[in-house]
Amino acid sequence: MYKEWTLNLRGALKKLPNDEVDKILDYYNEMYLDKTEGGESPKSILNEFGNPYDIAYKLYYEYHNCQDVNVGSESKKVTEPKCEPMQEIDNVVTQGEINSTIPQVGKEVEQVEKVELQAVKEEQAKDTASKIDYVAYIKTSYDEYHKAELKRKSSRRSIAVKLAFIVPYITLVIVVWSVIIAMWVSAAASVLAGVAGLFGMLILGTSSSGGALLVFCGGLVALAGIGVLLGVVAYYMTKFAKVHTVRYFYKSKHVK
Amino acid sequence: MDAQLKKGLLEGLVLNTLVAGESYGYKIIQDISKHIEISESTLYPILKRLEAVECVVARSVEYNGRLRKYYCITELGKEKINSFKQDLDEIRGIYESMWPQESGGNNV
Repeated sequence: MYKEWTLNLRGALKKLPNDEVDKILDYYNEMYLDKTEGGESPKSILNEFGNPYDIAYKLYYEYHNCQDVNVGSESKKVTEPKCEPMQEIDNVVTQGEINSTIPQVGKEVEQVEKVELQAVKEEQAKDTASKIDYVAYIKTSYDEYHKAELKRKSSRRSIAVKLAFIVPYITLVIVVWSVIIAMWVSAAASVLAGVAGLFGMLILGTSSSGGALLVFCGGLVALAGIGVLLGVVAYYMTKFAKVHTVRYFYKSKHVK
Repeated sequence: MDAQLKKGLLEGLVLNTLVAGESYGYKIIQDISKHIEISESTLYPILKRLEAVECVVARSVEYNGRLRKYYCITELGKEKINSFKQDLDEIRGIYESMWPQESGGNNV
């Protein structure tokens, strides 16, 4: 679980320098181990850490802001005007000379400023492009991560749904087939008992009175009749159950 | 709370937790969480920044067969705490002057 999370984080951080990624992973690893030793479960720790792509997004911006700050301070150092000690004026410069040199100096300064501004703009554009590129990358990875999560969840859900249908269905099939078997057994037993009793009465029961014999015979015929009826019902139930059972298992085999 | 404001506040709090002695990431989070919510991904850049500006120094110490990074406050860090406190006093002053009734109510 943690390994997968770390891999995702490493993947999401791949636009940062390797040594920085290693430092981040060391930091999270240390935190994970400390929390585990503190008695927290891996699941709750990862919940606290959050989505690796959110972390990468945040750290990426922090990293760049940090770099910007450093770059800013360096550039400040470079461009900071230095106070030169005042030199003594040896020659007196005439107003005409000043007028002729100022525009030239002004133009040169303007040109230098233009070049510097262009360089800064290019640098900023490069930086912005890299940020936009990374945001797009993070977004795609984030979407993929969420899709995978959803897929995992939905597959889990579909298994649960299948189980919710399969278990009652199989129970029903078992119950129905048990009832059918019981009906067949009782039908056969009733018919056998009725027929056997009837023959027994006819062969052995001649000593009984005519009325009693008739009552017994009637009872035994009724028993055999109930058995036949049960048999007929069991037959139709078997047919019905067989069709549905075969259809279900055939379907589920071919749906895969 | 505003993110920038919180960031500044957290820097001060992290430094303040280190005044009592050197500490490590998990412990710092535990100490600060008593006062304000902080996540691991928030603490990392703060520690990195403080290390970069030499307000803290880090050293790895072996613990339970692994390395744990301990952070220790520097003199510069202590100075930063003082300036942080001054900033807070200034903010408090501004707050009290802008909303005297509310700040007076809180004190009562």
